[in-house]
Amino acid sequence: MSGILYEVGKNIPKCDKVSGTINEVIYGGTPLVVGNPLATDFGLDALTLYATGGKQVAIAYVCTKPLDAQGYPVRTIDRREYAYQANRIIDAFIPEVNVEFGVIGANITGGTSAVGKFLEPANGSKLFASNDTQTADVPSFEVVRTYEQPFENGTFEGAKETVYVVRTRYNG
Amino acid sequence: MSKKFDTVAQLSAKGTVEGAYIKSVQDYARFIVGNDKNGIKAEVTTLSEQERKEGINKQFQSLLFKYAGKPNSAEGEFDRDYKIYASLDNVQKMAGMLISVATDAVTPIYANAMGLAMLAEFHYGGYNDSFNYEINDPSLFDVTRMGDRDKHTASQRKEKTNKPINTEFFGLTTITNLAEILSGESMVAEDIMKMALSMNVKLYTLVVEKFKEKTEAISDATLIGSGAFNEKSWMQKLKACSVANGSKCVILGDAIALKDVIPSTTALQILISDAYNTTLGYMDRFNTYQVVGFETTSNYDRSAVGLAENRIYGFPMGTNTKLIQVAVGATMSFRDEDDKNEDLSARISFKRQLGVDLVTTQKVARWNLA
Repeated sequence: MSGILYEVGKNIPKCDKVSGTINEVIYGGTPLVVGNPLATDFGLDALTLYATGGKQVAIAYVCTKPLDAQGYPVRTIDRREYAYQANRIIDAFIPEVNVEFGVIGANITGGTSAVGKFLEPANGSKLFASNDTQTADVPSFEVVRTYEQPFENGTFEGAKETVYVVRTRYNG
Repeated sequence: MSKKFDTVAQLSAKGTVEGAYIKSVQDYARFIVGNDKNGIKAEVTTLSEQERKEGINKQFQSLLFKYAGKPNSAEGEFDRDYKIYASLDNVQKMAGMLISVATDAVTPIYANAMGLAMLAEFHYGGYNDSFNYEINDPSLFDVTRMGDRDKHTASQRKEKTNKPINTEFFGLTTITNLAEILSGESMVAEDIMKMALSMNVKLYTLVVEKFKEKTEAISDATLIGSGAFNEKSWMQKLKACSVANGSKCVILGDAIALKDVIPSTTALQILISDAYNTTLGYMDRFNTYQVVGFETTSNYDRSAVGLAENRIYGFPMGTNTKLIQVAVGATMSFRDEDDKNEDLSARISFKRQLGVDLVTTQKVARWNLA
């Protein structure tokens, strides 16, 4: 299961956009570090996973045209299965302070978080770590709200995913 | 000359009218055959099974040799050569072809006649096709207050998912031999229809069992209740089920379970309609909800297959999609190639790729009767 970015915040369109490639399978809501423009394709940037010490990350959008490892379109319409394959061009936005967006449990180490906790990218990981306090000099996103998103699965009960809406905080 | 009407006698064993007719035709035949015409004297006897088979072989002798491409040979040789006839490709495949065609023709008619149309929807495919069902969230958006100039900070989204159904092979195998077929002891057409109907009964059983299994797993307290039948509580469950589905549900159950669906006070029970006593055995309408009794049919061992006698359901009606989705892949029938022994037994296997699962966004209410 992949993560999903929920574009719940109204300020996301005003954020800076980046496009680039990384030699990893990436899904919506993954924090990425923006590097230099690619030598071959100067309109695109090199992207890397977060490394300790980084002060700003870009958040990947959900892939709109998912392909499987062989390059064929995937058959599922469930967005939790959508991922960019390695070295495909990824679109991301750079969140400024107070910009809100949503992620699900699959974006978070441990699978859960709670209102009041801080999601911060971890070294070399595609997932956010859920911490009780804000770490200085690290991109910090505070969980301000959660809601249950239905994912109908054809049974009488249906299924739900918790969406954690985070707000970008000043990280000093 | 052998008696020609042995096969006909097999076809109509029991009925007195038919038996009398056949007997009279036999008598006439004996009369015709027994008359001394052109010096030919006929001998009419009751043949043993062995004699019958030998007689048949003699009848087919020239045909066998023709297909085998052999010249007419001495009488003693034909014992082995009827196998060539049975080994002909078309003869081998004939039973298999009949089964496949019969089943695909019979399934929709028979399945609907058993009430399956209420529960299940059929989807046909080919060998090893995958069946994937798209599921859409049926709920609406939340409307909240907002300012004059501003947009909401939070946007809403409905997610789509899909669900695959895995199929596996279900089948049966019967055995007969060529002599039985030709002598009329084995009725191939009857066997074939039985195989087709057996497969359909299995399909019916799978669907009903899946419905029962999935409804037992419902855990939402607003939709389930238990204990002695309580009119008001049941109405609450039906209301919750109806609003969740967007249309009024019906009360569904086995006819015996539905006998509990009656007004609560003794005085009101005089309102029980004629349907309870005369036509159905249960009230056909209850508090404005239609009541539907689910048909019971028999399994292969003549036991009953139907809903439980201590359950009643609030069941969604009037919507386009049914609860249970049935994926039907390939229908295949074949004769076992290894069976080429002396009596030309034909082991015919018939199998079908089937997958049955619950794929729905509808809700069902359930009451466990005490």
